[in-house]
Amino acid sequence: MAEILNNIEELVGKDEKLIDIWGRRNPRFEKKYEQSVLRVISDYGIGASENTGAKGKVLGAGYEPYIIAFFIGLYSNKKLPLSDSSENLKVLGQPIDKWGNLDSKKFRHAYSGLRSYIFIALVAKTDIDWIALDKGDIKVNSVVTNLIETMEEYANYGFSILEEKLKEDPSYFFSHRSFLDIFLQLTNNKSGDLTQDEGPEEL
Amino acid sequence: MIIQKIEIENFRSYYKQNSFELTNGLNLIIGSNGDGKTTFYEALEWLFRTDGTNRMDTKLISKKRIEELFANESDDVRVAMTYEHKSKTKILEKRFHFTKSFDGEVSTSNYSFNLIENSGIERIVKDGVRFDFDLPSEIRKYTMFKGESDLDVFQNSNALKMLVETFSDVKDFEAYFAFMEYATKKADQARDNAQKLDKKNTDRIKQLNRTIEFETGTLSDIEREIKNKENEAGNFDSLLKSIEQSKEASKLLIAVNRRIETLSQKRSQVQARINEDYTISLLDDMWILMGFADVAEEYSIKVSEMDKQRRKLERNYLLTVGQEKAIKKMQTDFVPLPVHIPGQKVMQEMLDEEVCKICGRPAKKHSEAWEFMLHRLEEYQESLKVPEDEEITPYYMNNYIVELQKRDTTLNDNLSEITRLRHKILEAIAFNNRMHDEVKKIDANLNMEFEQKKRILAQTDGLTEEQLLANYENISNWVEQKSKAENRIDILKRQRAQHRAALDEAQDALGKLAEGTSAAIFAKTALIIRQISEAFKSAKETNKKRLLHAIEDESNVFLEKLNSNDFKGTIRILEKANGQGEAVLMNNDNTRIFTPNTALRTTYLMSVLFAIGKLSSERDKTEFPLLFDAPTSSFTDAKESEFFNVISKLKKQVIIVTKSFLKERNGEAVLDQAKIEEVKGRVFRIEKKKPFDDKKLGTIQTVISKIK
Amino acid sequence: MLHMVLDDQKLQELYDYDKSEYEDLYQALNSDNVIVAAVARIIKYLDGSTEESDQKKVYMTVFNYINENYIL
Repeated sequence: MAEILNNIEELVGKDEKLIDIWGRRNPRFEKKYEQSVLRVISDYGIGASENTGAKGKVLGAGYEPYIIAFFIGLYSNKKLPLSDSSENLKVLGQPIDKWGNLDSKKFRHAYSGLRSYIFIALVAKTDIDWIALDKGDIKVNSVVTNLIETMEEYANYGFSILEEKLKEDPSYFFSHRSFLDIFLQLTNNKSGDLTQDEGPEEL
Repeated sequence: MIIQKIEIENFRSYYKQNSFELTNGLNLIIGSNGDGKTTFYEALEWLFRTDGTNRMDTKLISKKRIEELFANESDDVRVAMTYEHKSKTKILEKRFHFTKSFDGEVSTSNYSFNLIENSGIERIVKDGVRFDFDLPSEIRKYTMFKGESDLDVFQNSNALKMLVETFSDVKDFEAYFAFMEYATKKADQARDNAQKLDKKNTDRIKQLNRTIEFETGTLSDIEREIKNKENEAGNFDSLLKSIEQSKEASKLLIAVNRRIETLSQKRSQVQARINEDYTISLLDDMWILMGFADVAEEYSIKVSEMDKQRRKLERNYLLTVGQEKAIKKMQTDFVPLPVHIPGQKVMQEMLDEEVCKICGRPAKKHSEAWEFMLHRLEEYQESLKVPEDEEITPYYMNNYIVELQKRDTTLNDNLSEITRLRHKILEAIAFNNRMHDEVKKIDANLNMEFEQKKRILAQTDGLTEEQLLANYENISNWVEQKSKAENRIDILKRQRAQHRAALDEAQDALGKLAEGTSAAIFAKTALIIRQISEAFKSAKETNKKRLLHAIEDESNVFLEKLNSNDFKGTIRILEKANGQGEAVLMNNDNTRIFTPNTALRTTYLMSVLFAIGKLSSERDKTEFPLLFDAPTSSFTDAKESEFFNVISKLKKQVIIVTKSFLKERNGEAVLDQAKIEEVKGRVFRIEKKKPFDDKKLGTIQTVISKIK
Repeated sequence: MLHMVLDDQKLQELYDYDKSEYEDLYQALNSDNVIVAAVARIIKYLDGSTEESDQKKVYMTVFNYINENYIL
């Protein structure tokens, strides 16, 4: 299945693509989430490790919580703007075009295509004068910046939700169902109400 | 036996009838040489001959009588002895008739030899040979001695043998000897034969003994093994009994364990199918795109819009410019197919399959619709070619929208996947849940089994699971072992019976053989016979020795008497190597006197004779007369007298014919009256009637005159 | 004869009998001592005969007698 979804760039030519320009960027996140979320649910900060769970964490690199947070925001359709002060902000260690490039290990395999879907979502959700871009009236970098901004804001919201959940129950994400349930709920009737209990709970 | 009278008639020098009436004591018949002493002897010898020889002989007839006879005149030669023996008076008579023929020849006839017994009135006449009963010939030998030279009894090489035979208590030694020799030979033969037979049996016996040994050994081994096996079987039996109770438990336990094993395996399998790495799947399997359909829709719409817009604007621009070339160019640009027109791949598919996948209508090859599609595809493919140089300034600097558009195409292709994601996920979850349920069920079963196991173990008297299982293992093992042992016992018992039978058989056979084994017995018997034979031999020797000693002793007694004042020595009767006897005289120091003087010789030899005579009397429980020519020529007168005196005291009838007591007077032999006076006994004188002519036998006549 | 034979030292030693026990042939014939009885039998049955037939008879009698009665 993933192979199919991974073919998303199939038709796109080899010229410098918009997605590539975007791919070189490194989204920011609020520092506070580093401790409260990132380090809790991933190996972020510990060392480059793509071995999910090798150090007991559910997720590996720091971008993985980021992706999750992004999708939470995306499916919730809620954005949360970043703090104005750049002191509160931080970037992840790796640019987007590296995300999902896992070596096939025992439990993991690459999901590089997912980046494209994020990009697609960003394009869908960001207001951009694309004609102007193609005409060259606006710079591609600013378009990319806009896209990134969307991304960051969705992720920010997601992180806040994650933090909340963790505050309520620090062991919340120890369950293998926790993340899945979040998304099942979010995507169930598209009401985006996380409070609705959905799907079969684990015993 | 006592000789009462001796009658000699017409026997040699005894012309017509002559008789000697003898006394039971010493009888001396004195005569010089030629007077008829010897003839006297010979007459008696002739009379006593019982072997039938020398019956009639003209030489025996008195010459004088023959001369007297006229022709045809006869007379008899007769010698008779009247004797008393064992209370019977008998006459032994031998006679024959002689007749002088005309020519002077004398013939003999009418020989008769009779033993006449007067029993009361009866006169019983028997054959003269029966005289042997009264005076056996063997005795006769030792009763009559003719001359000094005869004195040495043992000169005759058989004398000793005959003495022994005659005088030993034992009769018929020779017969027994012969018998023992025969018996020994036969017994030895029997033994040898038995041994030969035994040899045949020996191997058989050896074999039987080996068999017996083997069978005995084997039986012993079998017994031992039977005991062992019985012990074994007994042990297994007790073991089995001891775990009998837990047998059930063991079986149950094994079943439970087996079920537990099965269930556990199943559980593992089921468990292994559970994959709840949902979080990972969100990313790796892109499950996170489960709700992406709407976003994708948004994107598509937006992109399609901007694409439309883009085209519109560009077209307007180009229209404004009004260059067909531009349009053409445009057409050769890499213009993606508009939204909702399927991608190249799909187009190709539709062509191949001859169906429009958009409207669902079939588009047969070369149909209008199909041509339309083909055309579009070709256009599209054309547009992929490298564009020519263009002069017109493109309206757009960038083709980012194009990029977006292209992406969208693929997105659309993937849409079905995306929409299906949720379903997939839910299915995966459901599956895992089912697996969980399964596991739960299995766990429930497992628990039951564990409970069961606990219960089993709780009821087994403290036996551990290992022990129960081991016991169960052991049961079949022990049953097998016990059965093996029992089978072996059966086999062994059968074998034992067989071997016992074989042993009995062998022992029987051996017994029978042993019964028939005569060799040993025969050997012993043969040995016994041999030993008895030896005993007979030695008895004979003993007997002989005893006899000789007896003779010796007696002889020495006589010697003592005869030689009372003279040198004596000791008489010994020896047996020479050749079996011949020898009477010898020994000095007091046991040295032999080899050449005794004649008188001594005579004396000791006579002693022997007297001794033998005594033996004869003892044997037959009757006395026998002793008759001999006095060997006193070598005696001194004194000795002579003494000699005769001794003899007269012997309480024995002795008839001695002697030259003694004759003195030479005037050329004639005259009796020495003085000496004769001293003699206690009867004395006869025999002399040739005078005148006689020695040369003329017919003139010879012996005359007897009784002196005393 | 009996006494003379029984007198034999060797025989007495070998077969352990007291010769004075046997005054006459009858006693000897009935003796428990096989050898003594055998000797008696020889003497009695042969009776001084030198006939071969007698020898044979006596031998058989005595031989069998010893065989049957003498315990090795």
